[in-house]
Amino acid sequence: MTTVERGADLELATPDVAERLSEYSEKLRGALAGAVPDGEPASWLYDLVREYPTRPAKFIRPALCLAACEAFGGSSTDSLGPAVAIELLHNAFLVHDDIADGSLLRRGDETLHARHGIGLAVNAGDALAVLANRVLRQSLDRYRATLADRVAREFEAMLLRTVEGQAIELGWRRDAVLDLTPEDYLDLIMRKTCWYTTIHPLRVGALVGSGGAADVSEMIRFGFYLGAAFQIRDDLLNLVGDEDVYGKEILGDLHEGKRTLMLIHLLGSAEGADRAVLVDYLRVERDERSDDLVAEVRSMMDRYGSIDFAADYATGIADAAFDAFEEAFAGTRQGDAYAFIRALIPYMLERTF
Amino acid sequence: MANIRALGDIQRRGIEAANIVVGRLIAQIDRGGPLFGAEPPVAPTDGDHPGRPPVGSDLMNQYMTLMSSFFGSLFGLPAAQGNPPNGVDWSSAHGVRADPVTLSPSPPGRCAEGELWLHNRSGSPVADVRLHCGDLRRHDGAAVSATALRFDPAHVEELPDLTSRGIRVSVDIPDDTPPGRYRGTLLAANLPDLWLPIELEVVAEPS
Repeated sequence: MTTVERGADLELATPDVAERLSEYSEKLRGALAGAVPDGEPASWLYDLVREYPTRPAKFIRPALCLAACEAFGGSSTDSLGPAVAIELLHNAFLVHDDIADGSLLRRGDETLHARHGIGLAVNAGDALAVLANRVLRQSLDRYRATLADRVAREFEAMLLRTVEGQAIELGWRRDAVLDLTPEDYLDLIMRKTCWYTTIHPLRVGALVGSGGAADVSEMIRFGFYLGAAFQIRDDLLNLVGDEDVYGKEILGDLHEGKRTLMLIHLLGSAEGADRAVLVDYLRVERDERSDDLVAEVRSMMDRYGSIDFAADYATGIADAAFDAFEEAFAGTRQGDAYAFIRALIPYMLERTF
Repeated sequence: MANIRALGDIQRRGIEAANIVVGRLIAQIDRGGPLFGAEPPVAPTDGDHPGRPPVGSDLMNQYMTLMSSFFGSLFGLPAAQGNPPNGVDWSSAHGVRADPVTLSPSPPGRCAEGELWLHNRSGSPVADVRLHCGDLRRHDGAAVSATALRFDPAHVEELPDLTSRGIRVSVDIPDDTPPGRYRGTLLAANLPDLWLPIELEVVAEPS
């Protein structure tokens, strides 16, 4: 496999991504804590709302927003409000996704609905979205009207893309859709994951940092490549990761029947009896997928080379991300933030959680 | 794609598929598709006024509607119209800050309401916070007395570090108050560095 190690051509020292993420997260955690009211009802709402945001997390999304802001001439604090809003929305999505997927572990602990029941968890997810809206509105008050309007449009587009992607993924599962290609998968994750994980934070950060002057059109391509590498790695970790480090249940995606790149590759490769098993596995409900059946599908992925395929596929996309990065950040100052965002490309492929 | 030839077949397929998917999206946007349309970047202009998009902005309303319908939640807080110098300051890691407060435009005889949020990032708890405000005055000196203002809660016993507290602000507008914008300054006992403008718009009684 060709690895992605470009960077020797970059004069800046390659930053320690984990260290830089930690610096950003320190700033973000304080703002996140301040965004959650401390009133009542605490035990039925606000304590739940605080759970996911206070668990160990990478904060890649808001960190991208802060770093892009810096790269385009602003200070990270200029975009702290939108960055916090993005992270709160991400947590809202996680709460609801965990319910839809029947997941049991999130960030190394029980999912919210597993601990508190579906009703309270749904409501806490709603509250996270409401608080995200509040934080965003407060931050828009600080910007000139035209910039505020533009940032609001970016959030509107991001929300629509995300719910479109979620609908497609759930629809594939409900309707037992099998004739899928890797391109279908990329289109799905562009909507469901990449837009709010990478494209949106980068665009908003660049707009705020430049006072609205930046042309952020090239950020779509870079953000998509970066986000695709992130998501494929995430799906791989669900199959091969260490549960204690990864923080989610290993093989959870297989239990859910999630259409990952590995599964789509397997669907296109498996033959004879293997394919029959696979088709049956995808047509039954989650609770009908026994541990033995999941283990059999997982074993097929090794035999048919689906794991290696996905890893290679992601490596190719990450390699293209370097060129897209140069386009998207052309003309910006090549400082720490610039180097950090560039270093995220190989990081996406190497991360263990 | 300078080094695409150095990549393996699967990696090249990944690049090509990703290029197709993102190219399709970009083309859709270039055609003025349903994303944002092909909008030009927003250039800074001297004519821009600070603050949020104009109240009633179609876009902002659409955004609020989208959020509301997506999450089945309400966004009932009145939006601030200005950018008070002491509004919420995300750039400050220390001190206690407050959001702008704008009261709902109301006619004489009614109660105008708004909400104010205090955020404590001072590094230590703050005790015994009491908000107060002088008379609200119109440009010509007409006033709404400070006694018409109420804060709920009137007294915050403790605001722990890294927490926020919402305070409801209400103004009972006297029946004989002439329409106009009345402005004043909010202060908080035990928070010597905190002050922020407050504005009340008294509108004519609907005929």
